[in-house]
Amino acid sequence: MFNVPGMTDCPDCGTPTRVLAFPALNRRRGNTGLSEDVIVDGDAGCFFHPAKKAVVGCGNCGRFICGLCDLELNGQHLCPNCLESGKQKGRLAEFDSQRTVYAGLALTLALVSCIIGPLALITAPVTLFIVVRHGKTPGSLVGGSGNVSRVVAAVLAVLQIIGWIVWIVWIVVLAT
Amino acid sequence: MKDRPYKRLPGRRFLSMAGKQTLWLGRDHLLSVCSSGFAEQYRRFFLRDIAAITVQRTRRWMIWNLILGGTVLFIVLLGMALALSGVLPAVDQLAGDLLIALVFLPSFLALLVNLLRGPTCSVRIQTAVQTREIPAVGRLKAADKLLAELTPLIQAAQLVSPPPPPSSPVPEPPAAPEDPVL
Repeated sequence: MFNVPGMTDCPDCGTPTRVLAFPALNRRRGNTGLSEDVIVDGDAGCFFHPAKKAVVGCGNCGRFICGLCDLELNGQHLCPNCLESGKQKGRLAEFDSQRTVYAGLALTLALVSCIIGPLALITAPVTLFIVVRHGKTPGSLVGGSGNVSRVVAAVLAVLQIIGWIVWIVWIVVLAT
Repeated sequence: MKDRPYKRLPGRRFLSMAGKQTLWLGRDHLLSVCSSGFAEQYRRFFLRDIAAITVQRTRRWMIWNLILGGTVLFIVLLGMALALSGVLPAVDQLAGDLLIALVFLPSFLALLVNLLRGPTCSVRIQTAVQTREIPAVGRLKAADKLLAELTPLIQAAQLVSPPPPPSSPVPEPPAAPEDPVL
């Protein structure tokens, strides 16, 4: 059942199952051992745990850190302080657990008001606001930049606003 | 062309309430994305932490085949019965045929798509602290492609040689050294 090609029946429930096991399965949980390294003469100590031996320098602030404080992210070693500040300032995309895709939202609003015309009175200004306000807000982590969607949404919104202005002027002219 | 940080992996699934589920490969992690169009939710699985991947066949494929196949069969039988009995006048017969075709076609196409996409499965990733289902991968074909692509990457991330093939005999433990002769 483990690391075999194809599926085999689970001995418990009989469901065809395939399991690929990796060495991390046998890794000991808890202490990695690195945090237990005690400092000896001549060794550099951890900034946060002075009694522990430093194993690496923080890639951002340069502080020496022990194995317990070393947080590896995309090949970069960071200390807990830099990690926390990067997370709070939104500089670490690796920590984003969700994102609003403003380009998609603006385009949807613009398209919906193309179908239901009267809605454009509200949605066109809102679309323009979203495009201007969130023009530089990072979009999807995995999709494109959304620039095309933003431009299309803005053009549609402007056209809708022009259409409304023309229509109102026309009504006023007819009435007078 | 600008390099993208993520590469799309096999598997995509639309869940009516949750939105579209996709799976992406980053430099050192997998990214499971749930997208509703205006918002995206992310879950990361670092390659070095993945302890096991489990693929288990589910009955969803068979159940949908039964439902859709039953619907198609029912519509065909109903149409035949109406046509043969002649209970409807000619004008109503045409309207009835159109109505039956409108119900038949979507059911038949859905059945065809379900048959072609193959059996369903659930894929779970186990790490030291959690076991999570990957909703993006719901078909065995996609799961096989995913495993073929991911296995070498995970092994490289965990710095080991690939597991021995199942047919190869279990290596004998080294013989204990003989007692030294004094």
